[in-house]
Amino acid sequence: MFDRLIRFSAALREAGVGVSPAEVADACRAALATGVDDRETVRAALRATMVKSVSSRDAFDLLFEIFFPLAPLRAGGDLSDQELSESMLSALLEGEDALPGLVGEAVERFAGISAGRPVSSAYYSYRTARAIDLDGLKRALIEALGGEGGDGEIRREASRRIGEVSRLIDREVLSRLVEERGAEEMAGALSIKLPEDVEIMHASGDELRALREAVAPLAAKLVATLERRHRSRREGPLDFRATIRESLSTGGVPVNPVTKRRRPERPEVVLLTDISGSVASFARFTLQLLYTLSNELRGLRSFAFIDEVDEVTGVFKTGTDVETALREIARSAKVVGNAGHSDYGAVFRNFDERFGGSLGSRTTLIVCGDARSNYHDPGIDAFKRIAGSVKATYWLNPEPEGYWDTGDSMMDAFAPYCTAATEVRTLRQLHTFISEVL
Amino acid sequence: MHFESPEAVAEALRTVGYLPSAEIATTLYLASRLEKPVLVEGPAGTGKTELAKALARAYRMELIRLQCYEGLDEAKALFEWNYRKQLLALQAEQESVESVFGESFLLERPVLHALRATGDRLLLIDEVDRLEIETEALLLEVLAEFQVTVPELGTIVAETRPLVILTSNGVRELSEALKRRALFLYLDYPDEERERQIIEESVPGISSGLARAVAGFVATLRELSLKKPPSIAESLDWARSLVVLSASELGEEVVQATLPTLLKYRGDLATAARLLGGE
Repeated sequence: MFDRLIRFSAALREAGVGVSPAEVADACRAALATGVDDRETVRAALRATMVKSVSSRDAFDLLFEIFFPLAPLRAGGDLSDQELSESMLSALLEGEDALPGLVGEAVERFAGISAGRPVSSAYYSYRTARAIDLDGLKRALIEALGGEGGDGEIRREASRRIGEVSRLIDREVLSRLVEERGAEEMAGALSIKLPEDVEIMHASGDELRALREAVAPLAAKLVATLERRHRSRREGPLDFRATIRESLSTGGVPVNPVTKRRRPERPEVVLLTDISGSVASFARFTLQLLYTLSNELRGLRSFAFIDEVDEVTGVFKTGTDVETALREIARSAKVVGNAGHSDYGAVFRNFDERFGGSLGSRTTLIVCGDARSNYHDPGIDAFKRIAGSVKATYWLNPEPEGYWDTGDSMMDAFAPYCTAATEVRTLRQLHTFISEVL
Repeated sequence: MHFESPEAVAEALRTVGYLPSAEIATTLYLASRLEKPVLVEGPAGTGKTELAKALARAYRMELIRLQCYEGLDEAKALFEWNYRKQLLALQAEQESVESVFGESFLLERPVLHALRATGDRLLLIDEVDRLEIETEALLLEVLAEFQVTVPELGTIVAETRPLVILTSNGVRELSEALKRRALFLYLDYPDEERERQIIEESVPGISSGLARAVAGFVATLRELSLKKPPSIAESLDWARSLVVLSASELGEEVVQATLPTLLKYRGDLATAARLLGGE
């Protein structure tokens, strides 16, 4: 058990979950305290002691399945394929506990796992799902539940139960592969990444969803940092009245001088986001961030651009959800001028002309973009003017720093006028930016 | 305070009307066995503070609460010297300057009180993420060693250790040092089944059919991208108002009329209305 626990914690560290030796020791003590009879109790005990942040929980759960696998299940070996499918449907309908066994049987029969084949678990899951015809099963389930295909409630319920089946398949395939290949190899092959280490530019659909969930706390943190920065560190002037009042309790001796609190200034933030094709998935992410921010930060003005710039603050203010807001931007914001390729020079000149007046010495400007201007004039003059009129300018670039200034990237031309230019490829880097740079 | 087993904790919490998941019970059990604080994190309205209160009720522990806010300092969290009493004592010339820094001139604040009290007690440090990072460090000595150092007096060590629960809404990432010292418990919105049980438990006179419908509807709402998804407290309020209106099922009309108890933003209401009207 303890040997396995130590290997488990090594795999967690591999995946980027920081587990300190003290925490491993805690985990051992916790496992001793609860006993190791019940798997779910052990999971809860290890999770409470080893995983201290929400974003690491998925990685923990996956690795737990690998290092503490369920024994593969086999049930009803003498059913025909047809009967197997029928009893699965009835198990789904009645919520019987027979389902895991049936799924185990299906994996045994259809996945065709054979030793030594270097194939991913997704392949075996797919084979099983295809063989038992998951879509057909879902249709049958909807019918059996009494929905004619139009009832949303029943369709959702069916999707949920079918989702349960495919989760069971994944788990079953995983535990069989672990049995065959060993835990370390499986963990290595899956290359588990925390959401904050995923590269935003190349994130898959699932990863983007996970990112989206991670954005909300980040936005809150960004707002907190910005507000704190604007709160004066110095104490305010002496509050004479309060000091006299306070001194009454010490016989008229003003032991505690009381000062007035300075009212925190509302931070003014202007966000300028490149939403052109070359940074499409990054743009989706920044707009998501923008959406969350605009809920929290009242003094936020946001602008989107490709080769024209337009204000999009209003789109987020109406309280619609983010998808609607994104469609709204695509439909109504005038971000495309002539060509539809990013043109930073035109954008900055345009921005300076139309909105330059609204920038002031209290404004923080944040530019998100790859600084790839398609060999147009980068408009350094205009950018210099803009950066000169605000309190601070930050540039967040989704490209690795090594790529800056290669090809049509003009990053090095802009950088001298920024308070800081930072590479932000992952959420973790954004975290660092907020806590260290801002 | 030592709990016997996770099941015993779960049972005790159930008797005072809090329905714990297995994970909650296990973590609390471990907290008592390993004598470690528990850090409870999760969205607002998922019963973090309620968990601490219920636990104190269930085991008849004294509940000592420290509500955190920005600007909370040593003098309000740990201890303070009673200036007034010191000054009076000096003026009356009953005491010398050294002797006014004694136990009798010390004002206990919640944390010190929790350490010095005897008997079973629970220290609830609420919304710890509102503290500045410097103030958070103040708590580290307490959380790891269960002791407080008063410069003039020396170190005060707890004779028996209190159970400590910290809650956080995740507004700010807490420091690694604090997280390392605590057990971590994430309270998410409950799944449909557990929410149904909570509703049936806490709303008198609700039919099980209505409870199920309420839980199902709330679960569907939480899947939408809302500005503020409904919390457990809000779904309980909603269930109560449905009972008061003697609604027996969720008709479109009654839902429309009562939805503002569940959703507090205009945009969210519009989204929910689309869900009701559409599909």
